[in-house]
Amino acid sequence: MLGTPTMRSSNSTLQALQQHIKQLSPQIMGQYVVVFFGVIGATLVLFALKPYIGDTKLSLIYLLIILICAAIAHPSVTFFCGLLSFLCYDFFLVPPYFDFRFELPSLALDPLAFLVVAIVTGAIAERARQHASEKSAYQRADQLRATMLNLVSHNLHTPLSTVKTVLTTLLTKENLDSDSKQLLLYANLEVDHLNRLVENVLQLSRLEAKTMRIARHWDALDELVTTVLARWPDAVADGSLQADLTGTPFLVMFDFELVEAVLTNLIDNAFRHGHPPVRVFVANHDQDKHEVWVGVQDYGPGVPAPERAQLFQKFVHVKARGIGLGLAVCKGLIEAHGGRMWAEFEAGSSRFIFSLPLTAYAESED
Amino acid sequence: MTHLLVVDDETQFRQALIKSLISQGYRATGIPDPDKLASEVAIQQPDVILLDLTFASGTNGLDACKQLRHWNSVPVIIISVSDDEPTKVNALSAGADDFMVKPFGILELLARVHAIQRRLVARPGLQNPVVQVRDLTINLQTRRVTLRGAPLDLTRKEYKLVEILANARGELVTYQMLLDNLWPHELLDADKRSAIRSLVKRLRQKLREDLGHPEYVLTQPGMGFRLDV
Repeated sequence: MLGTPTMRSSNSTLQALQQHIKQLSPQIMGQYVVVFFGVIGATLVLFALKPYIGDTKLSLIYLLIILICAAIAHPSVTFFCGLLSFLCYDFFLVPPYFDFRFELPSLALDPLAFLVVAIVTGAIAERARQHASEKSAYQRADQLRATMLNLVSHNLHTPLSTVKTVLTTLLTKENLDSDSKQLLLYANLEVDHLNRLVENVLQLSRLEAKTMRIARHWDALDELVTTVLARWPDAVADGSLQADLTGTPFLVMFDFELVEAVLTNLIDNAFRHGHPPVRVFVANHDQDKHEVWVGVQDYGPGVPAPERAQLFQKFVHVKARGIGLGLAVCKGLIEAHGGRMWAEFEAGSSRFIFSLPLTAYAESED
Repeated sequence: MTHLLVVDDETQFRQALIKSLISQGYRATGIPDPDKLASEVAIQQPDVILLDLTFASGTNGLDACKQLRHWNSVPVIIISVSDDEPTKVNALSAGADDFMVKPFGILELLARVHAIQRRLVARPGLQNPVVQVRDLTINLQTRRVTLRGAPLDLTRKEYKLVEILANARGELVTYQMLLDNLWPHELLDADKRSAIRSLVKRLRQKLREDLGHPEYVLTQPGMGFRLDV
């Protein structure tokens, strides 16, 4: 109220500065103090030594201080360091001494470089620090995901194991009436299904986290089909699950357990959403493209055309097929093998097909 | 009576498994942590140990298995929720005899227990040397295999495979048993499992099996094979 306009503006600048200082953490305040005394001290030493070492490379000492400052301190501290270096160098070490003016305009270049270097290196160092903290955040997230996976895997599998043991034991009892036996069989099938769902969630997380290990070996594709078919012995016996393996190449490179999971999912889907007979086929007719096709065909109503595009997307609910998790996992696993997966629909039948790349086979010694 | 020792820290699972085994006519006991495994084995002398891998106490089933192997050769079947390749291979190289992924059915477990016990019992030479499976005749004495009366031309390893299956007389032959006989002193990894499957495939081709509906060699998913006698 009493002050002149200049005083008021300088007052408000002072207030803004006070505000800024209040917001500073004690750590950054400490950095300001260290830089202040560091630059003043260095200036005094250089001023004292100037007669002995000449004035040629003195500016490099300041640049060094600014760079060190940028590497460890807050960007605003680095800027402060640059400004203070500019003033000290100009005042004490550039003629005319004890004056902020320059004798020659070219002498202003060195101190100006301090300011520029302070701003640029401060910004670069800050960006690098941000990047590093983002990276460590990612690493923490990855670690969290791995811990979660482990937790889910262990905590869901353990109760499932108990239930599976109990159900399979009860199913061996000979004095069961047929209703009880049927009910236990349903429960047992659902435990297997639940276990597959848990497996799918785990596989999907591994695929997303790119921690999936694919161990490809030369293996027998028809043995794979036989193995998966053996999980449905009753369906194979009554002909509702069939296989045509005439087109199977001798050996193919793939990860047996992962492709086993894919084919199991597809057959499980066909039984759940389609109509028998379910037919598994291996076709080698696509010779030019060097791949083998494995397909699962059922005689269900299929999937309505508008929903087909979303069939392989994860967590997309397709009315005819439930919440798409299994198919998303299957597609992910096959693509990790370098293969493709797609669906074909005709009136009254659906086919889910995946391909595996064929590479030249070198016959081993046995 | 066969005595099975269950080492698992999940109380519900351990108790359910023990009760199941007892109801199947076995003697079964359990401990929650492998730190007492040595004394338990020394005192109770179980015939087969069913050992979990991870324990809340921080004890590691693999270490327990390794320590046990310094002084005892009782068969150990690892029962674990992890099914990844390194875990399996580590378990077998730590001296475990077999590896089962939870959850499993009780009959699968018992098939493996039988398989391990059969492996330990010397092959009785008194059994009928001729094994007949419908049109397939295997003479273990003359080493002749015929299909519908016509002799089959089998390689050394293919015959060995037939012999192991025939000796089991229709019971489960695990991958581990096949490996021990076909590639002794090797570890059962994914590579060896695929080699075993390729060999089974070649045998099936010579038996002119319909792989969609095999008649002679049956696949037991995740476990091994058996002859359909």
